[in-house]
Amino acid sequence: MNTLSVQVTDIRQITPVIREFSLSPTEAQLRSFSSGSHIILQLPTQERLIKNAYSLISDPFDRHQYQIAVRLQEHSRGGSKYMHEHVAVGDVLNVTAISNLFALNSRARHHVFIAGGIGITPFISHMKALLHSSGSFELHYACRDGISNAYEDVLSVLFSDQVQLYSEKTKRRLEIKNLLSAQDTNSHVYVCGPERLIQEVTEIAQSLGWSKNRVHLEAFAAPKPGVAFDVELSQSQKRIHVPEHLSILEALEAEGVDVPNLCRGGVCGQCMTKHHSIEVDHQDHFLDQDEQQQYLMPCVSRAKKVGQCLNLEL
Amino acid sequence: MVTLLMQEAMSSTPSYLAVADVLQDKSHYVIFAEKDDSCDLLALQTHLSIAKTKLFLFFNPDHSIADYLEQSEKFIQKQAAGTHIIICGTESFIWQVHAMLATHGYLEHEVSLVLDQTIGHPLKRVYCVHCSHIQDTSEQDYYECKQCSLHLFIRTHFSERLGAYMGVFEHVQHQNRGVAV
Repeated sequence: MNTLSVQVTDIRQITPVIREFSLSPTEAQLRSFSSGSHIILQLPTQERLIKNAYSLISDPFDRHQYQIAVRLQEHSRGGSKYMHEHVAVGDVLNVTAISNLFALNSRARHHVFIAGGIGITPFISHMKALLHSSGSFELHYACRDGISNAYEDVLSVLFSDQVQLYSEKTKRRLEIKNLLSAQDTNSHVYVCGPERLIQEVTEIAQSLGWSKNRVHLEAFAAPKPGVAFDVELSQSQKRIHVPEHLSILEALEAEGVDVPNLCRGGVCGQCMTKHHSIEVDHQDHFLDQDEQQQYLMPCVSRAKKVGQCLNLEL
Repeated sequence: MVTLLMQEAMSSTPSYLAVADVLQDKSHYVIFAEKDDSCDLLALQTHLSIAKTKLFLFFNPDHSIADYLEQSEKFIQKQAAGTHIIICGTESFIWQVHAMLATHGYLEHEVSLVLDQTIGHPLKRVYCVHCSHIQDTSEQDYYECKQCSLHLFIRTHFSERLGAYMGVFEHVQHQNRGVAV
């Protein structure tokens, strides 16, 4: 897609660590999207151009603006910090892609949403879309009071029958096994949140004999930093350094090597690349163990040891 | 006369499990079986242990398949997601049950298909792409549509929704092969 330039028209502080941004197109029309979509936003920080994926929280029927909610990450690689400390109303930013890797299953008769913290974002657009279609859903939202409980109040007012909150305040714990065991075959489950939540849901679903297609995942986390290492590209005969805070994908892009990508978070499989290395820290949600012998995902995978060199077929 | 080459299986060509390949890792199973005296059904119950299985048997000369599906449907609707279903019978039986399960949200890997080779002569369910008539045939490659009388070639192209192989006018195939480019 061509880059779309958007202007920040509104910023709201939702919790002490979560900010909501409204973005309107400066010239062209807004590209329409389906609920669950994310945009890739370019952030020109002082050190480098960061490309981060943010789920849209706006109503797919609202053609005037995109809205996103960004949590300030404690170990920010620069993106969320930039959004919180530098971006102001009136600023113009570039959106380089909009895609949906977390769409509602059209054949499901009931949608069960499980959100952990800022993982609530894609469900906001799903719920808005389901209001239009009168679709059946329930939301299970685990959050921390006053920190990661974005939209808690408005959700519990608007959807009091459908929303279950799990926090210190409600003194309730999300029991995933009970929740999944209670579902019949018309339900599909969607989970967005921290790694351990996603893992727990997928493991329990598997142990209950569920099809993989019944569970839909969105890992919203930006790639984790790690040790610095090198990659050697066997086809283009290049050796590129990957610093601690960059992913392989970002290091390649900085050197002008383009790899097709969509999610930049290890879930969609677009950037899957052949490798010839023994020790890889894969970190993705896409490849199975056999596939990992041959492929890695440059958007999240790294070397395990400092100074190691990974050989890629690029 | 041009002789047709052996058709290759397509991605839509259904594949079935042998009884021994049905995974034994689930806590319980629901079996939809076409006939009670079939060797495959007995083998399947032994393979999974009878205690872990609930059986819905079709064979009953007084009932139609529609009645059978309607009754099983009542049970199916109350099941928790993850209940593993095994359909054991002829191809025509398998796909009629499969279609009923699909409407209730059963997904791939939650349903195992065992083609029962021990039941009589295997019939193929075929769909005439010209007049939409569905019929069962014992033929393997060609058949005549009972509704529009066309001579049809049975493709490996299979529709899970219809539970049938596509039958297309045989001369279309011949013409394609006869034209020099």
